[in-house]
Amino acid sequence: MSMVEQFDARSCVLLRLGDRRFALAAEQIAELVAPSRVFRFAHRTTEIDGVILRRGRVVPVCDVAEKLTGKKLTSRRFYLVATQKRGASLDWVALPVSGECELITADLTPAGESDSPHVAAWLSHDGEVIEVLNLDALTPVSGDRAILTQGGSPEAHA
Amino acid sequence: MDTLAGSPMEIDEPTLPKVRHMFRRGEQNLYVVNGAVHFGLRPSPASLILLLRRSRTALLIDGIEKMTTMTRLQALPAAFCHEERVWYRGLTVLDQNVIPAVSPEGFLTADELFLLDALVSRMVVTETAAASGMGLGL
Repeated sequence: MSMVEQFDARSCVLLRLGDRRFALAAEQIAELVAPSRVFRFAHRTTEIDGVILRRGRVVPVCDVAEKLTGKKLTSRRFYLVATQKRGASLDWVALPVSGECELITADLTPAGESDSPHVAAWLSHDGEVIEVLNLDALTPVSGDRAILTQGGSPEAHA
Repeated sequence: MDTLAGSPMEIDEPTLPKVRHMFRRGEQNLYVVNGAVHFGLRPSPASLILLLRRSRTALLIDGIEKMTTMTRLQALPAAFCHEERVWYRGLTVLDQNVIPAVSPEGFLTADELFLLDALVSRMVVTETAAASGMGLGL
């Protein structure tokens, strides 16, 4: 059995974006919350919609539906608040989802070389093969290389 | 706080459309940055100038909503990864609203200040020469 074919049982959260389902590792999920007011201010990170306030913490809202399904979400039923480890810090990000989420345990098949970077693994559930998402590939990352000089456009430096 | 009703010098540097005026305060040139243009917002008929402390930037704004004290400044989340990281010191929460706290150094870079200083120097030299010429002609 090759590395790609090895199985690993993990707890995952299934989320719905439009008519498709995706999964995230449960350990990355902080909470599922009802949509609340999105605060918007000037910025140039197009992937970020704004921020929500959650327990005194400012959480960026990142709509990943367009990247994953090609369509923006028309209705946001919940925000799935996920965490991302970046260096020593733990960042929070709110992902709008269009349906209720479900916690499952499933055997994961690691992603192969030919899979998109946003696919961390695959799982099978209810006869459906579902992508387990790699959030780091879906959400913008700040870093010295990404910080632009003033006056430049994000596209010019992407 | 000041207004554009005084006599600031007009500036036309095509690469820096956000700066249209400057004035001198003491030994320094202060450059007026149009806040709406800087942040990529809809242009507005702003006329108030907010002088930023320990900075060579003055900010052209629509108005002042209120003055208050920040008790806590949160870092801008890492997901924001473009110019806003230079624009803002962080985010604060006031009356259950999230407000970005601007960084005075984020409006003009050292290179832009250098460019503007050079432009103003050339303008002053040209004006002085023109005034001398007019004087000789009398």
